[in-house]
Amino acid sequence: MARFQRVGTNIQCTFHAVEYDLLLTLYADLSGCVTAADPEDRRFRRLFPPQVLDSDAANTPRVNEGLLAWREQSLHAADVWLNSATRHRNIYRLIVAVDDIDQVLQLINDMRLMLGASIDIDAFDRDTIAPDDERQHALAIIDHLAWWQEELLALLNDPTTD
Amino acid sequence: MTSPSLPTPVEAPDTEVIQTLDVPWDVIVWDDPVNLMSYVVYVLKKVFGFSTAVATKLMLEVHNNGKALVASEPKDQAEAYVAALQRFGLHATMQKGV
Repeated sequence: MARFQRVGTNIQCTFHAVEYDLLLTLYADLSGCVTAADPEDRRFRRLFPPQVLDSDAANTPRVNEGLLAWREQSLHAADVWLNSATRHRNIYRLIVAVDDIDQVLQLINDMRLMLGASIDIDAFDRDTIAPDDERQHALAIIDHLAWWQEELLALLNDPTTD
Repeated sequence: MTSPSLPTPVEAPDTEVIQTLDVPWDVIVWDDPVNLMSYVVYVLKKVFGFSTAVATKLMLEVHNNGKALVASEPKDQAEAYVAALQRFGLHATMQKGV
């Protein structure tokens, strides 16, 4: 069963119930992070980096209002999309137009960025942490979402499916 | 004999203003441990219209050197590029070129 499959001008996304629940949970976390807009939150800072790196950076507003408005709008669209799922036994199916697929890619990527920031992924080498380290859970989810991204990118890059 | 008239002074252009307007802004993409290499290539192709070869070369530069200069543009255009890259979650910033 392909997770992502072209159906005419749409892409059908198929998730196991556990994965769909994971998506909903991560969506809630992401939405909460963006809505709170707390510049002290490491996750928020990763999602909203400064635009300018030079002596003017100090004058740049910490929260990029344009990017914030864009992410809020995207999250609203994601909410509508996630709630449009149809269920058959333990399988959830979601349809998205090919033209809108970037929003799905961005959503999955934002979830990965948020998880990475939550464990301060820049600050350690993942190969050196113990198997029972609590950060392994977030890393496993990051990797699982990466698998989805790779599958979706492979589909989008496949000229035979155009 | 009349003394020659002094040349009319010509006002020098405000070179500081001209230089400020002309200086391009560099758009930089920084390495990070989360974004996938394939995703970075996809985004660079999407935002800049690069070929796969060019996007891959820049992605590898980011990966190997920690950052890559992906565009040098007037400020407005650089801002638009940074905004587009950040919407995709890439760690992108801009700075005045030298």
